[in-house]
Amino acid sequence: MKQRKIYNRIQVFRNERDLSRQDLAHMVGVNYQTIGYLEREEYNPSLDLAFRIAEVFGLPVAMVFSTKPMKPLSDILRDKFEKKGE
Amino acid sequence: MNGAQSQRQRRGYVVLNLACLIILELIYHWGVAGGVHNPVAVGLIVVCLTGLVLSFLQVIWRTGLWGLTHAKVENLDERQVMVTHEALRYSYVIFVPCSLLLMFAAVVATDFGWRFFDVVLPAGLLYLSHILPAIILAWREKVV
Repeated sequence: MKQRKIYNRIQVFRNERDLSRQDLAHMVGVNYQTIGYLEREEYNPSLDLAFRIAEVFGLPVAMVFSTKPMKPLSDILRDKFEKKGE
Repeated sequence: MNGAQSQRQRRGYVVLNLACLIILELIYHWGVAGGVHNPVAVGLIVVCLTGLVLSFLQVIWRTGLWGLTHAKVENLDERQVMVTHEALRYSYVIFVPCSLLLMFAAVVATDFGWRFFDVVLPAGLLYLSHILPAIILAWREKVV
């Protein structure tokens, strides 16, 4: 079965929390290169790994991973801001 | 896996490693085993052995691919298990036909009176069976 590409915001959330790839890898129990592969969206994580990563960030899985290309968070915030302003 | 070699560099070392192995086998069969104990053959064997060892150290040892392909499953993460499994599958697919072909060639060569099957051929095949998964990873993976 051909796998769908899974998009993610791991790099954004990792940078926000000032975590290195090594730190995040250690926290979720994988090799640091696996984090690199995930961030470049060259590898789809298992459900377990996806949950573990989301738990590290304290966010729902759907905020970190998606089957559709993810909008930049700044765009989402701008849209919300503009909606409020209306 | 670790190291800072580009995929192109790794592929270069893989080609060098396999070329040295093949040339070493050929020199042994056509040179030394054939009774040609000349300094050129011995010199070529030394050069090929050096190339084989150096390329092995560069592309398989230094990159950690040897450790990756020989590690226990419980010491690997899910992506590493997946890539090593894939590399082992490819190795099996490549190694079995190569071995069968060489054995067939050995039988045919023996019929023609040429001693083809000796200690160097199985040694080369054993070496190949051990490095093949690592070589496949070095060839295919973008980052190792």
